[in-house]
Amino acid sequence: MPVELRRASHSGRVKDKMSSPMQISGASPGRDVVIEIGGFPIEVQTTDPELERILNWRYGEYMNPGKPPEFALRVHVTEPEVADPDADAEVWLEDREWKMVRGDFSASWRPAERRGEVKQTANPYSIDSVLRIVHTLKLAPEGGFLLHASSGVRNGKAYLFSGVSEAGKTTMARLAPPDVTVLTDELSYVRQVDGHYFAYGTPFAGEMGKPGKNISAPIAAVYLLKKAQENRIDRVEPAAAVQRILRNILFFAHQSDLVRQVFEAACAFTAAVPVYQLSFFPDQRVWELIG
Amino acid sequence: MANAEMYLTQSSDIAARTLGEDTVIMSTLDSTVFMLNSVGTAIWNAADGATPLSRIVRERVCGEFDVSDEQAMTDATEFVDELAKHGILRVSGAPVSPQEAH
Repeated sequence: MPVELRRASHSGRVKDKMSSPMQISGASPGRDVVIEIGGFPIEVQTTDPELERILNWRYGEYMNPGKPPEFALRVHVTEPEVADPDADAEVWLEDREWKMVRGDFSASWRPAERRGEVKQTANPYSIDSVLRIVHTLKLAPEGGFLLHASSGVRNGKAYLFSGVSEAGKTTMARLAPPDVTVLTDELSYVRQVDGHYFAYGTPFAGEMGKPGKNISAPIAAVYLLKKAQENRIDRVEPAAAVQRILRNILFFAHQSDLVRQVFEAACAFTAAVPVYQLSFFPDQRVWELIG
Repeated sequence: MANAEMYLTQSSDIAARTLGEDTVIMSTLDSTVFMLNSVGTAIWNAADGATPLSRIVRERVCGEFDVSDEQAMTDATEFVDELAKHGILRVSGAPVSPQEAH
């Protein structure tokens, strides 16, 4: 019997796929905004009216001005430079301050002081990436994570459809019947609350180019996507489930403590939530198997 | 040196969990993830720094699985080399004390 060993590459890349043109509607300039994603309110402070309009357009459904923020991010808008928003982000901890750098932004976050700074141009992609990174850092110690997965709520339960690029995440969201509320077509927000796992809507959009509904529901199952000629569901064995969930968790920093937290989160999650492989032919019939 | 003994210790730079007969290991250095099957798990669990690989293979692999000594040793050596390359297993030519192993 051969000794078998399989290696999985880990996904930790910020690539925003928003493809639709921006339609920015009016907002009064100079006001700070509170963006609440996953029940975690962050105040984004800016004096730049263009960025404020972008934030209102991009995160409209996730604005919660009445909620006291857990911390504030002050955004300093800079002049445009040549930068690659598809470059890999670098994230590291230095003197209790998280540093985040990519070609199109630099940012820092000091959790103990509940504040951070962002330098970027007036564009939606940079702040969106900063928010993704901050949420991954916030979720990890709590046993939560962002998962490359579309998700939808049916009959009060959330179902996640996970996979790498081109696996069919957006396809599953597009095929969702009217009784399904789509939480995201790209990046699912997973939180552990009192030992139970919940999926939250996110504004982190994929090819659909629009944010998910801002609601949450207990997670009933995760489906690992595989395109096929017929629809079929197979249970994934525990170790393989952990490996494949880890492959699709979004995280950036590689501090050993954080990596261990993410690993433990994946193990705990797969012990609590059934993981299946969903082989599917991309038409509406696949949803007959869900829920 | 072809017959030199190899002594294995698990790196401290990993997170690992055995689920059923398989083991998932994640490197905290580069976040790579490995999954070991039952044979790999047997070798992994026996990597105590004191037991030579040849004995691990003889007792934990050949004794438990239907495989020839020669094939088992060849496969096990490749397996150890791959994990060592990613810093998940440490390999030495002499036994390692429990203090050194950790």
